[in-house]
Amino acid sequence: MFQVHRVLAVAILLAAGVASAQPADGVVVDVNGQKKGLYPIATPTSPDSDSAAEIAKIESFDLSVAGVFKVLDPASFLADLRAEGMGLDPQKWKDVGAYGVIKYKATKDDIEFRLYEMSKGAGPTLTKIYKRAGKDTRTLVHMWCNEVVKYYTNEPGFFGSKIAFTAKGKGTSSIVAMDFDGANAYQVSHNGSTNILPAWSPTGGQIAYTSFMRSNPDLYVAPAGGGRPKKISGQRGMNTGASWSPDGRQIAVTLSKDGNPEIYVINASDGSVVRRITNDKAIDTSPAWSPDGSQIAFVSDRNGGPQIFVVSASGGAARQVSFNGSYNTTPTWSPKAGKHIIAYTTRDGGTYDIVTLDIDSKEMKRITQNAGSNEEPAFSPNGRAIAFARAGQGIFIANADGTGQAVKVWSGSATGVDWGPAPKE
Amino acid sequence: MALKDSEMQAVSIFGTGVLVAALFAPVLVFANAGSGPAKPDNLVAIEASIAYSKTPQKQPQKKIKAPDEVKPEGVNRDENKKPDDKKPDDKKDKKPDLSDLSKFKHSNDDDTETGKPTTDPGKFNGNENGYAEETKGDPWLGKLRGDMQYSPPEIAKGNDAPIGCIHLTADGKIVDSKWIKNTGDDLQTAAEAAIDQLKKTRNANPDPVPTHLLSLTTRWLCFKFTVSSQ
Repeated sequence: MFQVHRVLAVAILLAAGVASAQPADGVVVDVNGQKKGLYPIATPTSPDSDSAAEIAKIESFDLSVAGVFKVLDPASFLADLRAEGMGLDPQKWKDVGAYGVIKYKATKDDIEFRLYEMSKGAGPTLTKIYKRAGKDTRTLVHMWCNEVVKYYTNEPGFFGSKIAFTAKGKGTSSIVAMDFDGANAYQVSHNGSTNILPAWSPTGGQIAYTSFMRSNPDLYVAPAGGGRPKKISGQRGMNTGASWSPDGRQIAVTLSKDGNPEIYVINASDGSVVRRITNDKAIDTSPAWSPDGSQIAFVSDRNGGPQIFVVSASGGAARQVSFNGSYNTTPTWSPKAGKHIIAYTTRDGGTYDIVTLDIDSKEMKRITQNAGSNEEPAFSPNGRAIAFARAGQGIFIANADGTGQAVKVWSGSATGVDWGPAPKE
Repeated sequence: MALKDSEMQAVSIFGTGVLVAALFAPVLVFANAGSGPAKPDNLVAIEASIAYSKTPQKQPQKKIKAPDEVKPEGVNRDENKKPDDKKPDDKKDKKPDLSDLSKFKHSNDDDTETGKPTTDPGKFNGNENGYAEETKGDPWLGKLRGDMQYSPPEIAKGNDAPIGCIHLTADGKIVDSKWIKNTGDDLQTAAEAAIDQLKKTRNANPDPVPTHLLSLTTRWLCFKFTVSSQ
């Protein structure tokens, strides 16, 4: 009996709760929407701050390539920034379509950032003060923008991460690393030979690359900041296309020591062969280790033209996963946990473009189209963006969901793009 | 003994029935004779699990809006249509005499003002919310919802559903709005933007409330803004 009363009481309470949410007559029209699109955010320039324009410019760029924000045009702002100072009038920002607004105040000692959400009113929802303490403005703004991305997505941002690539010169090519936004570029390889296919170690401390400095294409590992490279694999023939295991202990690589290019796993410390992954009379190249360490994607022409295959990281039978067109190369995995998404270069007509493929759902997305010849994609550390090389133009970043326009971050002739790990907090 | 008309009719209907049964019963019996359940010995088994057709992946395309079809003016696409007998300038020859139109005028046949209702729905009662249940699903209301373009950003925060109301006038304009459930999150911002969008659209180009929905103008018309997962 007591049980029945309790159930009845709960039912009455539930009914009361539902009723309180309804208008007096109890009937409303349902308007059902779908969450999609970018989050409108305003990053106004502080009217009286040290290096104010520089801060706003870096902040605006970072958030615009984050893959989730639409940075509003400052020309549309209605608010009196000087009168508002570090506060704001939410209605004025709502009127220009902003959901979020970032204010900052910079002195020679520190920079204070505040994030306002229009739905929360006139109080900031996120505040950070960064002491300059020898760090440059760019680094501090990147740190703040990472906080903003984390606040909204619960994922780390990629601002402050680095991209490595092959810069082509006259008769030579060198390995270059730079900030993801193209700043602070520096040379990693310092020989007058051909150096190709850089690959960041999982911690970001080292870069593996293939160099012809001793004539044979051997595999070297160098400190990411530059410095003397160490030869890891100098097998006869090809030692190319390095891809680190997630724990950094092993490297998947293409070796042709027995005549035909095959995929092998070698020790990252001394280059000794751990196991052979493929064994096929066709050409197998471009290994890419999955973020969970269980699989390796690679390119093979065993079924005709080059296509993307996936095999267990311990070896075994490989399965073809790309079926679009007749020419697909340079696979790379998205780091998104729980997803099995790869990006690769596909030939479409006379040019090359970047696409992504969800191996489980088979859903494909086009990242580039009708904009030059694009190749060698690399995912950002959080999987929200993709960097790639556009022939003769440079390196670009695009949203990994295929929305928006790609943004150029480096000008020049480049190939072999690889995106390093997330910056340390 | 003579039969009455009704008796004769009954007898003839009964006789016809007997005749029809006699003719068709053998046909039905023989037709079904060979249609029993098929014996397994006569069947051919096909392993369906291996009989699949592989569909090749296609190159994905970015979404590009196709241009609207341009229909040539003055061209009829009905191949069976006969040409009009009248020449286009026939009317020009027969100009009506417009010298005196006053004889056609009635005392009350002026056009009603655009958007003006033909039925008086009654005054707006600000204490009443909602709408009549039978109007749910009406296409005019559906278009009203569509004009809001409610679509929160992908990373919008919030789980609850804001409820907002508008005061519609019979000419289709929105003269006021209020929130009876403010969730104080990004979904609220998106819902407010949707109502603002609706006001802009409907006040710039009012779509008069149809007669059968005029009751909507006498109370607050309320919307619950929900989100579906992608």
